[in-house]
Amino acid sequence: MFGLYEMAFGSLTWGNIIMILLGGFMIYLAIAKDFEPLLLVPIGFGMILVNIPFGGLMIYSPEGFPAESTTLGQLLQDIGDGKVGLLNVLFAYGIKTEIIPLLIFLGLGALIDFSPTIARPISLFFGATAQLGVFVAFSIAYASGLFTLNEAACVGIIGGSDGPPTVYLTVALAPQLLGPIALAAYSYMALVPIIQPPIIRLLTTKKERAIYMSPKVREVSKLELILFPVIIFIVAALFVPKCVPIIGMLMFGNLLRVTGVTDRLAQSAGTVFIDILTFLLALTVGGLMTAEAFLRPQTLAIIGLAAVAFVFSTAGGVLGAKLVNLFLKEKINPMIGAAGVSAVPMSARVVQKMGQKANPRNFLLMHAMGPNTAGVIGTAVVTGILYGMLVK
Amino acid sequence: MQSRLSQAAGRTSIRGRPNMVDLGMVAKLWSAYGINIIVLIILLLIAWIIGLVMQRSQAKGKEGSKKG
Repeated sequence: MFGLYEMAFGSLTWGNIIMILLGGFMIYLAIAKDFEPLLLVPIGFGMILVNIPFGGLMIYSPEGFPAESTTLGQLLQDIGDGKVGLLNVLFAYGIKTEIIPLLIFLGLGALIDFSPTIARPISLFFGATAQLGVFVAFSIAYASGLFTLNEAACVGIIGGSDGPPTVYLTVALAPQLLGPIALAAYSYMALVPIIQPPIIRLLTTKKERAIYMSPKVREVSKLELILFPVIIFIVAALFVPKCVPIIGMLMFGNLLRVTGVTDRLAQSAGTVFIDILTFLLALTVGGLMTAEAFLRPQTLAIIGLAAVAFVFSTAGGVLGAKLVNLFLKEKINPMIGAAGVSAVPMSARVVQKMGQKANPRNFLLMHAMGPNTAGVIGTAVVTGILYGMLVK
Repeated sequence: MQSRLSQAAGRTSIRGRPNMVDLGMVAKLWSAYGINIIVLIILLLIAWIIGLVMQRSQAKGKEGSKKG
């Protein structure tokens, strides 16, 4: 426009404008509606950042992938030359190497209290059955013809309702879909209080929802808390070796929490450490959502299939609990199975709220936290199995 | 299974989409759901046994301290 000087207006496409508005909408949802603010604010802002032409924070290769440098020395040169941006570096060294999602899982482990799962081990079964949505969404995605087998598996894993495993698998199998898949996964997690209640109501009778469960949960000893992450990790890893990175980080973080001598490490891992990694991940994921990468029919399909995944995962958890009830003398409230979708602690809160509505004497939060944290283990195991099956 | 799955994962048309849906592959991937349930049932049993042993040893310890 003014000789060498160039403004971005002339290169702004309708796609960029739509993405900037969408980014703004994500920020609005986070601030005004409190929808996963720690994730949606950086994702939304990342979307805005990369849709300003010539910004240079995330530069794409002609093939449509984030540009990369061949060596570290070359990287410094390329940054100086404007051939790669800051978000390219974060993507290449933080996400593509799986470092950030795995370390987030470590922080998550330091935050999770497994005592409700240990007190009621049957929770692990609900954590397994609640992975149903992963496979239903995968089948529909693959049958639709819009996705390859690998892409369909990544769409399905949204049903695990857990961010880091979703990012972990998608980076390995279909990195080109990371933006829309991560956005759908994190957005739907915020929608758990809206998605789950009608499904739970559909699959349970009023009488079942009112089943009383004593609020007392068995007290778990310190030794049990220490043995749980170590033994569960070893056994799960022996059965599903490909889940070692993800479940290993989770259980290591949890071990730091329960040893009683590593409180400082656990506190760091569960606060500043996970916070920094989360916003780096979210900002970079937002940075993957350029108009060209996001505004495609596949994205709409992913958004629709993510809803399917969440619905069927909820159904799987509830049906798992109903199945267990067939063999129990003292019936459990089948709603707690719905918390097996992970999405900690949102789905447990949904169950608690619905339980109190059905029977004001009921206090199901601690009972629902068991399947809730077991769901995290379930998703990690499923991720490992799919990784083992599909990664060449 | 690995190689067939890998082939299916990479079998794409010119537009990069799958040529046809291989139901055999879908079924094999669904087996992951079964494996997941079996693995978590094993973990459940282990957690249950650990809990049982701990509770018994705690009860024994309490009995011992009462007698003492």
